[in-house]
Amino acid sequence: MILVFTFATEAERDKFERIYEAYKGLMLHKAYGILHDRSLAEDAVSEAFIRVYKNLHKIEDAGDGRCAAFVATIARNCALTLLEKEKRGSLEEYDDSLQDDFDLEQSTISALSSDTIYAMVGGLEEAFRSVFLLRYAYDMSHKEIGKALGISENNVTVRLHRAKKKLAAMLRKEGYACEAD
Amino acid sequence: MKRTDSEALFRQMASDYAEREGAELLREKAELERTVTEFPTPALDRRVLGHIRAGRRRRYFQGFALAAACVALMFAIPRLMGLEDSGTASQPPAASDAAAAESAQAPAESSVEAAPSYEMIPLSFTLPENLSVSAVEQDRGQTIYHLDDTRLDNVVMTLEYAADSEDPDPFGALRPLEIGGATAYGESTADYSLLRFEREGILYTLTCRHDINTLAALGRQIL
Repeated sequence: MILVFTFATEAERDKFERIYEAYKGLMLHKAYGILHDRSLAEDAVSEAFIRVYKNLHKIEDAGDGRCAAFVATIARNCALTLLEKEKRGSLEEYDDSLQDDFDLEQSTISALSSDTIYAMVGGLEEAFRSVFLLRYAYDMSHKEIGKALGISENNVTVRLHRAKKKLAAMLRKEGYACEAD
Repeated sequence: MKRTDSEALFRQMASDYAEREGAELLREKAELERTVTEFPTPALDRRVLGHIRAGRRRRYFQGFALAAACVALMFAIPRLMGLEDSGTASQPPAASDAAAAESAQAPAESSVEAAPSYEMIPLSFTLPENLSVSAVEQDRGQTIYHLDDTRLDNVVMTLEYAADSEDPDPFGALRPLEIGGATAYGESTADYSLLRFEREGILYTLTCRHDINTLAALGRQIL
């Protein structure tokens, strides 16, 4: 695949190169943890950087934690997609209703500790967590998420709904929210 | 209820999680850098940074091409405006004759000098749902489409007029395949898959990294 990275400004190019140099090791480490194959991990990271390049505008500071979380999310997903491809499997089996019916109070957030949030979101499967984070932490549209993760927009919608449903269930279990209507 | 409340809550949760995970990842990264003294990745560097270098070369080439076009225009505009004729009229008869002789030779010379121009070959079919055009390039007579695949098996598709193809035996050493009622020629190796066929005078060459079925599905759309 011959793809040329073109940048509007030198600053953008420098940002991309800084991200590459800073995170390629970490991304390879994450991808290798999923694929257990160095060559496949490099394939995944290479693909991940193409997607990082396409979403460079979403990264404000190449050195901050949000950038690390963003690139790691993309890398993990590329690795998982490659793993699925290797297994000839499919992630497209979700059939939940897409009706949002969560009954959550904004006041809930103040009652939640950072540890609880970390455990709840961290408890989601990667396929759901990444879509949830890209949508709500990085404010990406379903279309942008689909392109970044290599899945269809429809699948983004399904996964996002699934993620929110699971989080709502966790919150209800902890007594932070009512049952859905 | 309160869908907006839910959205704000999810937004806050996601943001908190990203901050915390990011901090943990930065710690992990620092630990990796501390414990792994050398982490050479020459192949990955070539694949990722090579794209940037290609981009730079392309920018330089574009600048050079622009400058060349400007120079060509400087010569072409007087000729187009008929200034050359008036210049010839003001010359003495002997010079005028010489100029006339030169101008008689000019068409032959200009036909030799003129660089061939190539038109981009447009797509005449609908792409399968999983593919979308991410970039298009024109390399002399070849129009190269880069297609992003939602299933991570990106395709490079080259279109060229079969009559102008520099390959005297485009289907040599390839295996004939029946696709969409027509014959295509393909090959699949550990490194790539390739599919070639001709339709309405255009030679299509499709390659992808993983699965020849990606190419076969695209071929069916075309054939």
